[in-house]
Amino acid sequence: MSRLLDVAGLTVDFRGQRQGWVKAPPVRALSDVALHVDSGEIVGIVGESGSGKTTLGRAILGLIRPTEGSIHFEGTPLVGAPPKQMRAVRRRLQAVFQDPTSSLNPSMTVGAAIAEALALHGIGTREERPARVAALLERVGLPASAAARYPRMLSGGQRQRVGIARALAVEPALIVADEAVSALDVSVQAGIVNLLSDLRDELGLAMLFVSHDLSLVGYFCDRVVVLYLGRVMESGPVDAIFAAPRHPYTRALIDAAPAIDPAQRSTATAPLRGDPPSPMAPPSGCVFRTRCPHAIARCAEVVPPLEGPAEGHRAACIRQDELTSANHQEFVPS
Amino acid sequence: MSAAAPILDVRGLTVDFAAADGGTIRALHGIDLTLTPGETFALVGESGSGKSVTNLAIMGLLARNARVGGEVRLEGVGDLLALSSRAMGAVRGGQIAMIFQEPMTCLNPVQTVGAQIGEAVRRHRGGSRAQVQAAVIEALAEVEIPDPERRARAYPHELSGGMRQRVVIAMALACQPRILIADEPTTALDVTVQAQILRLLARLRRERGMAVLFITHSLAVVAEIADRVAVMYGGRIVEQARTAELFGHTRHPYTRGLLESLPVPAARGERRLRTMPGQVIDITRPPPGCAFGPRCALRIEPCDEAPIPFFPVTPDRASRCLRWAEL
Repeated sequence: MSRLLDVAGLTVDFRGQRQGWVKAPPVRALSDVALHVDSGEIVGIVGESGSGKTTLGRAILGLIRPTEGSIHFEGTPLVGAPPKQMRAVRRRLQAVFQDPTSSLNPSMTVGAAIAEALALHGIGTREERPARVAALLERVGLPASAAARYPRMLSGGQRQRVGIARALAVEPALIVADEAVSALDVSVQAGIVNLLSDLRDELGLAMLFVSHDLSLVGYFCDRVVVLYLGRVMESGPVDAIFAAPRHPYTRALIDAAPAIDPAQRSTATAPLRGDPPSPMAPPSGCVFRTRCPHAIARCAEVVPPLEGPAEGHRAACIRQDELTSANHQEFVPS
Repeated sequence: MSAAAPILDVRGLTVDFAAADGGTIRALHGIDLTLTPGETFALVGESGSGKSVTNLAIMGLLARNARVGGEVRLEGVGDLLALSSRAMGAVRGGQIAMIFQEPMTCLNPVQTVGAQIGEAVRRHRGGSRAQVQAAVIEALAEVEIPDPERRARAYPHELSGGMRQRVVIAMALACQPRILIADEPTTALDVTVQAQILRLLARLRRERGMAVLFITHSLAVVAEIADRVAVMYGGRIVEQARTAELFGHTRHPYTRGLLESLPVPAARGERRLRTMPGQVIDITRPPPGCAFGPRCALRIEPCDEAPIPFFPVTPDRASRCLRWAEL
């Protein structure tokens, strides 16, 4: 497998809102984030509101300029890349967003919207394009006749399929999917998830799958990156993270997710207290310590490094060894 | 259904909307449900299933182009559908309180949350200024808002989404309702905050002996909170059972389809998610037989001929499927 995407030390600051004459300090949305995606791999980005998961996706797509850090795509640096180079990269790096209604032009037929993507990247001739559009629609499970329809004539699930067809049109290597199935009913969501799985298996497509839905990420992704307040809390293979989370926040997220299977339901542990703090005033040291049932004085002093027993599975918690090893019971807050 | 006498008894509830072409569109086809004190009853369904219309019809909050039929009997009051709008106004927020998905829609952005809860307290219980103020602090403490004296002086925008939902719950409870209707109350919240609110609702229900009608799209949330559950599709209840029994062994193909379409980490790499063929029913053109029939793998000829009755499976559960026994 080859390395497709490499993100290192990514930091994004947003300008603070002015309060009258007082200029507010910048808000740090992402802080020193590192991750990579290999070809054909599905990497999940999980986090709650304010975790920075959407900002991360947008920075990778070049929609936000990072304050610090680097983003390499197929070896090409993206931060500060000239527009011409970005355009070439964009053909290999596509996006699917949550709300297909807002990302499709309501006055353009589905066929025209997909053909536009082909034309922008100079793919095929004008005569060849309708056949390509038809093939793409069929690829995503829509009839070729859908090309003549307007977005409003389609259901939410069908519109999301159009969004995927348009992303696929330019033959990307990586798709950033930001909550791409979150707005859909479960029975419709299942079809889109199956479609994305097939595209990975058949085209070797890699995905950065941004989601708040932990069960879905656990089902669909190969690796997971857990974000909290702009920092990576834990990253590693899905199986390892679900079976033996090394960070108290990951453990809390897994416990908080409602489950149908009574065996998976944890009634023993109390849910996390409070809400995530404001990104405008993040806690010192470990950003999770204000809600962590295991926080000690030292957690306020140092920003915990991302480390772990295996290169692939790492957590940013100074107590991860004592909390996960021998004395497993201690992980359950009293 | 349950041993205790129901506090709310809904019988044959129908809703018809006047359509632009002069005809009518039936959104609810005769809903029967009962709610007993101290229980949480969940209505679960996908978009367009009729779960929120059921809530609005019970509360008399549908738009004027809706015609509501059937009976909604509230114990000690009678048929709510026959009440004057003034009498119904006293029931709403008095005997029956509601909370919704988006707490900001229920909160006044230019009034402190203490003033808003105080208004609810004054209207339903009265009392002196000091008594109202004390009741407000107590209400905020009961929904586990830390530092209630200070929070009472906060405006809604100064609070997080989870805090706002707690404030709305405090307002809803200020009038000591016998029934709480919660329409997707945790859908807009983060998962760790959702877990807190579900626990809070379960505790309040237990302590106050309130009945809760919980409306949600999430089967997992139903499994966490409900004693009994009704699954809706196309304006009908298609299956009803005790929660553990429904998830243990479903007796309707639609419920089964929903459960198999849920992603669970344990199934990774082992199975594809189940999808249901076809589209969600178009309620402007309902089929003559089973609403789910056109998408159902078990469909046989009689399914398409006439509406399917609600078959009692046990005294406690029922299924609107001709072939329930084979499932």
